[in-house]
Formats: sequence, structure tokens, C-alpha cells
Amino acid sequence: MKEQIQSSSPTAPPTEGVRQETKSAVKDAFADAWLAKERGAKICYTYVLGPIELLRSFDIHLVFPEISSAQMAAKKTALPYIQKAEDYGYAADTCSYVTADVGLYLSDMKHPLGRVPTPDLVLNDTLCNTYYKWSEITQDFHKCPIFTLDHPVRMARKNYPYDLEALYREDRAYVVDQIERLIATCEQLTGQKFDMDRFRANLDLANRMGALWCEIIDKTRNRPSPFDAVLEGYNYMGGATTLKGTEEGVVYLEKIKGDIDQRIEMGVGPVPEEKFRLLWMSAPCYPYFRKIPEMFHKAGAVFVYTPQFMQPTRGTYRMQQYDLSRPLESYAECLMDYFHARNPRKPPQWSMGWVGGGGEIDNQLQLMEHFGADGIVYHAIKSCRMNSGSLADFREHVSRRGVSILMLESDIADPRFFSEAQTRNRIDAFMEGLAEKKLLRSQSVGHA
Amino acid sequence: MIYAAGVDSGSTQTKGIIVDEDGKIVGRALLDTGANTVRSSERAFRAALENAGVEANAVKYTVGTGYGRYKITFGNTQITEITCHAKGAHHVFPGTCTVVDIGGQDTKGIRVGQDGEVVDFVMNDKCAAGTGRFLGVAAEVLDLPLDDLGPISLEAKKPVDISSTCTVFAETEIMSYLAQKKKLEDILMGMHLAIAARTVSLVRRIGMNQQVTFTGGVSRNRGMVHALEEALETPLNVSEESQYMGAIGAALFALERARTV
Amino acid sequence: MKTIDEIVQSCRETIEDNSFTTVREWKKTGSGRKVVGYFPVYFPVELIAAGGMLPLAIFGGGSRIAVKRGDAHMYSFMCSICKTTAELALGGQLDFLDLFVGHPICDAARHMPSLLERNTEGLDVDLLYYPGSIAADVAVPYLRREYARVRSLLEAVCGHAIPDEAIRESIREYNDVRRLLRELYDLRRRSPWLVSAVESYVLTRVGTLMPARDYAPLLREALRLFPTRDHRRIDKIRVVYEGAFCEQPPIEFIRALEEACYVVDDDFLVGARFLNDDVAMDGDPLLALAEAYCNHSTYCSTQHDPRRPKSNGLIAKCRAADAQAVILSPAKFCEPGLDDQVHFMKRAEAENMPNLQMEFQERMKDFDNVRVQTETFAEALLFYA
Repeated sequence: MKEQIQSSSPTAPPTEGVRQETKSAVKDAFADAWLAKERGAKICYTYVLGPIELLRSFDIHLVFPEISSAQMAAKKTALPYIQKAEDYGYAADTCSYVTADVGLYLSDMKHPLGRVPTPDLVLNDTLCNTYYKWSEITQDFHKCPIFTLDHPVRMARKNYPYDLEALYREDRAYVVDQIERLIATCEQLTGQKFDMDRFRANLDLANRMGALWCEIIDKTRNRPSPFDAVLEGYNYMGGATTLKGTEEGVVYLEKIKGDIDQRIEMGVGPVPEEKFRLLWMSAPCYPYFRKIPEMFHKAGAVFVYTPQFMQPTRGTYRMQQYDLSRPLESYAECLMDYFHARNPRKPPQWSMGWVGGGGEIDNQLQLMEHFGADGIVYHAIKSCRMNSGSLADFREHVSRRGVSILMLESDIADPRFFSEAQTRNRIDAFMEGLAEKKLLRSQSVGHA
Repeated sequence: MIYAAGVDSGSTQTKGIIVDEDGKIVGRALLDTGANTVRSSERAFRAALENAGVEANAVKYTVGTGYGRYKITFGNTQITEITCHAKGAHHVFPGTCTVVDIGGQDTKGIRVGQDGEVVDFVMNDKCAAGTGRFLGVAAEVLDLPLDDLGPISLEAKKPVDISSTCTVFAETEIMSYLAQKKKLEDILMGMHLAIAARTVSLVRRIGMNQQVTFTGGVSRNRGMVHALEEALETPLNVSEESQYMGAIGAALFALERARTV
Repeated sequence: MKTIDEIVQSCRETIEDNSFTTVREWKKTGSGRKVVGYFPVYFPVELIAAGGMLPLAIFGGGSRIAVKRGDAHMYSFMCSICKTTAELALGGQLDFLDLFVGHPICDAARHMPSLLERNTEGLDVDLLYYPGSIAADVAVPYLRREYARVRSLLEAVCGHAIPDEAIRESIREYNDVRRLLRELYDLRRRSPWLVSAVESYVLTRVGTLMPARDYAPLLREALRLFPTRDHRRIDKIRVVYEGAFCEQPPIEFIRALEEACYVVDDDFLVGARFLNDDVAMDGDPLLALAEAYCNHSTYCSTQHDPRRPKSNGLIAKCRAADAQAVILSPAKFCEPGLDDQVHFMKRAEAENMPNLQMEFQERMKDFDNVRVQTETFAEALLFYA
């Protein structure tokens, strides 16, 4: 089947170059970290939506535990680490990014891609509750301080018995207050004075990356879609996240954009003949990262969007750029508004969240329309109740609106929660259903 | 001569053991538990007495163990099967440091101290993954007698890789390998290895030291013994008395009490 | 005059009634009466009561509910309390609520308000967002402000202002309740043979669905009656139980533990006992409540307090209760509980405190495993001491 795809497709554009680029963007991470440590920089562990541009205004090197766990998983090396954590006492039912990371701590920090330096600081971004636990666990192992940067979540209501704008201003002041304390903490940690111009420059780079990223992820609206949102999109995103707010990041995304434009020009996509376009909800199953999208490709289906695409830009997809004239406030706003649609002052947009009630359902229908999708695949992840907790309920509500939905259950890092035979069955049945639906629709159009 | 007795009322079988005052096993009995736990315990006790040629009133103390231990109304006290298994395994194999017990519904790991005491133990949670139940599902899907799975699996040359030991996934996983025309013995050994891996990860939580004694109904499955030895990288103590382990431990506790009463 | 056993029995019937009959009756007996439901762990119930409304803790459907619709609306790895709470909502059993408030205590619970809103016609929901780190300087002023927002929400529900004076009065009533609960736990620590963990659980739980002014006399009467019992001490190990701060185990589970041990302290329904001391009754009542939450509360797996490890709290609890051992048993799929189980276990090991690890589920039906494990644990401590 694989040969078939290749033989019938025109010469593929230089995707390999981008893949190498992505690989090196993340592969050099630990080597860079050691070099940074040697020259006296501090190591900070932060999560992918942490205040990256701010931390990069200091001589602080960032390590992303989520990305290092995902890399283990994608290289099919996570299980022994996870099992080490389970031997130590951790449960199989919790986040496997965390247990893979604990396995790393228990393995003298030896990651398949190299040795990881221990942290001088953990930045706990309160996007999900697992971050709290992960920070606490990291502290238990490495005895490092934790800085918690908290940004409240507000629910959309039909009516507000309080002043919503005032609430937003006060919440922003609460976040700015913490950012100022974080700055003081970083100054103390590094012995460096905070340089507002350097921060502003990082934000400017982030703005440019954000704008580029928004262009890139909108290109799947082309038919055929020039890339697969899961198979390639997540690779792009890994690079975009680790390079956020840097010059290299801008170059990296420009390169991707160029490659994609070339593909559009040649009219090629991930499959020889694009028959179906799908949305993918929540993170991929990294241990079977290629296998699952390829099961869809076999039936001519391509993923055109995933709401996780909001990650590298933190809300900039709505063209909400950092306002360089008031950097701290603007930074706080982006922390508060981002991708789980937590700010009720604006309807959810392009993201997927767990607040907002009915707005969530409409948001998904809008995404279907914007990307010309034929259906949605919900990937419910054992590890991530944050991303997966509402999916089954969404399925109930979105399917009532006539959308074809497939629900898959597996995990981001633990291969034991994936059953190939069962997954294949479900995907085949879903694709048969979509084909049937398309046929019926074309027949009814024919009759009319 | 004084005697002591141990009765182990399990979910499928009930075992009785009589020991003399030196702790020597002088009588034993094994029968199906059936619907009436009280009666089967009584019968196992009587049968063990008969086997030993000992009168009931010569037995000074009786300990009940197993799931039905509170139904052993004629006994003097009850002790759990984990405590009794540790004691029994230590008696049969005095070098035992770890006991691995795989039954139909649960898997247990016991760390045993120098005097046969329980230092630590671990049981699988409600999920039946990695227990004998997984083999039961396989036997049903493959339409084979449960007892044949072990011997067939030992013929394996290239065991398949079974990633999930979830019993819910097991059926589709097996069917898929059959559809791929994989050899039966390779599928079966793959399953045994998957259970072994799961067991090892459970037992590792309490720390694993040699010697390891393997008990419980599944210990009679030679394929499982092989798979577990591979996974643990150590030979296992497996006794013909395996199913009596709990009753032996109970009888030894009874003897200790009989001496102090 | 009711005996203590009759009191406990009638409380048990109340807490096991998934139709919330007593709450519905309370609502009917006065015009304009409102009920505000909240998800565990903690809610400043004083604010609800000060508006003349009934605060009601929603602890799911327990073991007596068949999950029929809940499974379709939640994937496999959600904990039971979330699923049975959804089941109650989908079955219309929460239709009497005038407001439901959730908390971001864990990734699963974050979904609850929206999920209930999507599936219960006309249900008003909201989220009380606690400060991320209760140790931060910004935490108390932030929480004071958040409580003020909650007050506005509640005022909209009850239809009138909730003045400071009413909140202070409410604080006084709940201080009384908390004091009585502390006495109950003191009694258990001193004489666990006089009051069992099951009884203390039932008496604590019933308070989460009735007004404080009716609850306090009930507790007072129970505390008068317990010491009059003719119960003798027996030879059992003394343990502290940790892990049920949110989802609650079935009563049969607690009973199975008690067959082998005296459970002398625990974290069952810890939200009802969250604040350690009396809340200040003078000054700004919202500030007093915020201050109590951040600086005078118990440790909890759902709270982040970098000032001290949570295991300090657990070890102190064990020492105060003169416990020989600790049972660490969180709910299945409960991430905060499962992660902290390891933190607690390692600390217990370091302190030479024997510990037993298990998991429970509110919908569990088989308690043999619990019995076997607890008894074995007790035997290991008693036989080879």
C-alpha cells in the first residue's frame, strides 16, 4: 500500500529537509543545555505553554519535560522509563509524560537523546493540574524551587452579575504582579538585571513567529492539503515551541512555509488522492505516531487541523499579537486568553476547551466549515484528562448536529494503552461510513 | 502427641493440612469448594484427619485461611492467605525471599522475612490485566482447554509481541494474530510473556530478592513458569505442594498457638 | 429520645438517598428557598448560607447508582465521582439545583461545570478558581476578590444582597460546626472503640446536606451519647487513612478497614474540616475566609503549597493520633491522590512508618481484597512486632 502511495504521487517536495531541521531543532536541546550550564547559565524546567519569552530574557536555558517525554515515546523508548517509575510506586493510570520523566530521574538523567541536566528552577504554569504535581515531584527529586505562575480561568455565562471588564483588569493585575515577582526571582537566580529591551525583542520575534505560524496552519485549507496536521503538524509544532521567541524560530518557520508553498504549487499532499479531510482533537499517540495517521491515509483521509495548533502562538492565531508598548500587561493577557478559550470576553476560536458550554460545540462546527472537514476524530488520552475529559460529551453533542465522529482511546506515551487490531477496526469502519455518506450525498445531488 | 490443622478455603478448591508437634505434615486433603463453603471446609478438615489417621480431638488448634476463612466456624482463628502463603512458602523453601502468587482473579507479590513473616506485599487492583483471567480469555477465544495453553506455548520459536495485557483488548489482539497466520504456540507464548512482564512490574514494587517461590493455580502452567523465569532472569522454586501452601502456613500458625495456649 | 445507633442509622439513610429527598423537602418548606451545589473538595459554605440558601456538597452517586448514561459522556479514564455526578445530572436528579459551582482541583474536575451545563436544561454553573499557589503573597488578596465575585453570583441566585453582617453570622455558625467536628475526631483519636470511622464518616457527611443550625445540635447530641456506650477496647492496630479527600469510598470499604484496625484519623470529607481554626468573626468576613483558606487550612493533594511538603502534614497527623501505621489509598484514576500516594509512601518509609497502599472506587462492590490486604497488614504488625 505504501509503495502504491509513492508510485502514484508526483515527486515529493523537500519535506525531508524540514524533518531534519525539526529533528536537529529538538535533538541539540540537551547538548545546548550542557554548554549553557558550562558558561554558568541556569537550567529551568518549564512546560510548553510557560512564559518562554520572559525566561529567555535572562541567561536561563529551558528544558521542556513534556517534549523530552514525547521524544522518548516517539522513539519507542518510553516504556522502560515508565515502568521504572511504576516500580518506584507511581500508578499506570496517571500522566505517562510524568512517569516517563520520573523514569528519567531514576535513570541518572540518561535520556535516549543524551543526558539531561537537573533544574535550578521549575516554572509551574497552571494550565493543567498535572503541572502542579509534576513540579512537586520534580522538587521532591531535585530539591529545586518552584515558581507558580497562575492565571485564573473564567467561565462564559449567559449574564454576569459582576463587571466582566473590571474582573478582567483585576485578573490581569494579579498576573502582572506575579510576572514581576518572577522577574525578581530570575534576577536573583541569575544575578542579571532584567532587560526590558531584550524581553521586548523576544516578544517581537514571538510575534513574527506567531504570524508565520498562523499562515502555515491555515494552508491546510488548500485542496489537497499540503501537509498532514498530525503527522507533520506536530513535528512543526515541536520545533516552533522549543524555538519560541528566537531568531532561529523565525528562520525555521519561514523554511517550513516555503516548503509548504512549494507543495501547494505542485499540488501534492500527504496522499495521492485526497478523499476526506478530518479534524484531530487532542494530542497524538506518540508511540504509534506514524502508524495511526497512516491508517487514515490508506483510505485517502488527511488531517487538516488540530486545536493544539494554538500551542506555539498562545492565542496569536486570532492575530492577537503582543503589544510591545505595554509588554508585561500584554504578556499577562496572552497567558490569560490562550488556547483553551478561557477568557469569556471573546468566544472560543480555533481552540478546544473545557469551559464555555455551548460555545464549544459551535466552535467545532465552525472549524469543520473553515477547513472543509468531513469529520472529527477525538483522541481520548489516558494520560490527559485535561484534553480528553469532555471529548465523549462533545461526541454526543456534535454528532447530534450531523457530524461524523470517531472516538479513539490510547495514550501519548505509554504503548500498553494502544491495541493495533482494535484501532484498525474502528478506523476502517469509520472510513467506510464516511465513504458511504459521501456516496449517498452525491447520489441525492444527482437525483436533484 | 498434639496436632494442629490449617484449612484454606479458596474460591475453587479447599485444602486441609494436619501437622504434628514437630511441624511435620502428616495429613492432607484437597477438594472442590462448591457452593457451600462451611461444609467444604469441614469436609476438607475431616478428610485431612482421615489421611493422617488422627482423631479430631487430638487437634489442639485450627487456623482458617483463604477467601472463605470466616466461614470456617469450627476453627479457632482466621489469618489471611497472604500471611499463610508466606509462612508456607518459607517452610517448604526456607530460602524464600519473594513469593509470586498468580491465581485466577488476582496476582500477589509477597516479600518474606527470615522467619517467614510478611515484610511487604502487593496485589493487583481490580483490573484483571496480568492475572490468570487473561489466559482464561485466551482459552475461550482459541477454544482450547486451559491446561493445554502452557505445554503448547513451550513449542514457541518466535513469540509475538503483545503490547497490552488488558483482557478487553486480548480478544481482538489474538484474533488479529490468528488472521495474520501467526503460529498458535507463538501467540500463546507472547501472552505468557505479557503476563510475566506485568507480574514482574507489580512484584518489583516490593523489591525482588532471590529466592523466588512461585505459587497459586497458575504455577502449574509450565509455560508460565518458563515465561516468568525469563522475565525475572532467575530460576523459580515451584513445588508439587504449591496449592497447599496456604493451608501449610495456616497449620504452622495453628501449631504456634497450640504451644502457647 | 433516639439512641446513638438510631441517629447514625437515620443519617446514613439521608446520605445514601440519591434523590436528595431531605434537600428537596427543605426547598419546598419555604418560599423562594434556593440550593447551591458545589463539587468537592472545599467551598466557603458560609457565603451560601448567609444568603439564606442551602449549601449542598455533590459527591457523586456513590455505589448505589448504575452508570447508564455517564459512560457515554465520559471516556474510560475518568474517575468514578465525575462519572456518577454526570449520571445524576443526566438522570435529572440534580434538577433542583439553582447553581452548581466547580473548582479546578484536578484535570477531570475542571470539566464538570461545563459538562453539567451542556446536559442539564437551565442549570446555572460557574467555577470558583482558587489561587494557584496558596503560599504566594498575592494569594490572599486574589482569593478575597474571588470570594467577592462569588458573593455577586450568589446574590443573583437568592435575589438580594448578602451583607457582611450575614456572612459573619454564618461564620459563627460554621465555626461552631467545625469545633464539634474537631471534638468528634478528638474522641475517635482518644477512644476509637467508642466511635467508629464509619459512624464519624456518616455524621460528617450528613452535615454536607443540611443547614448548620440544624446540624450542630445533631452533632452535639451524638457527642453526648458516644461516651455513654459500653464498648471495650480490643487489640487492634491504630492507623491513619489518607486518600479520600474528593471521591468517597463506600461505607462497606471503611467497615472492611475497621475489621482489622482502628482508623484513628482520616481525610474523608476533608472539605468539611478544611479550616483548622475558627475563622475570625470581626473585620472583613471575605478576607477572613480567604486568610483561613490560605494560611490556616489542612494540607490536601489538590492544593499547592510550596512552603511545606504535604507529607509534613500527614506525619504530624499520624503522630498526633498515635498511629502505628498509615493506609494510603486514593481513588482509582485520581491523579492528585495517586501522585501524592508516592510522595507520602516515600516519606512514611523514611520515618519508619509502616504503610499499606491500595486503591478504592466509590462504585466498588467487592471488599474481599480490601479485607485481605488490611488484615495481612495488621497481622504483619501484630504477629511479628
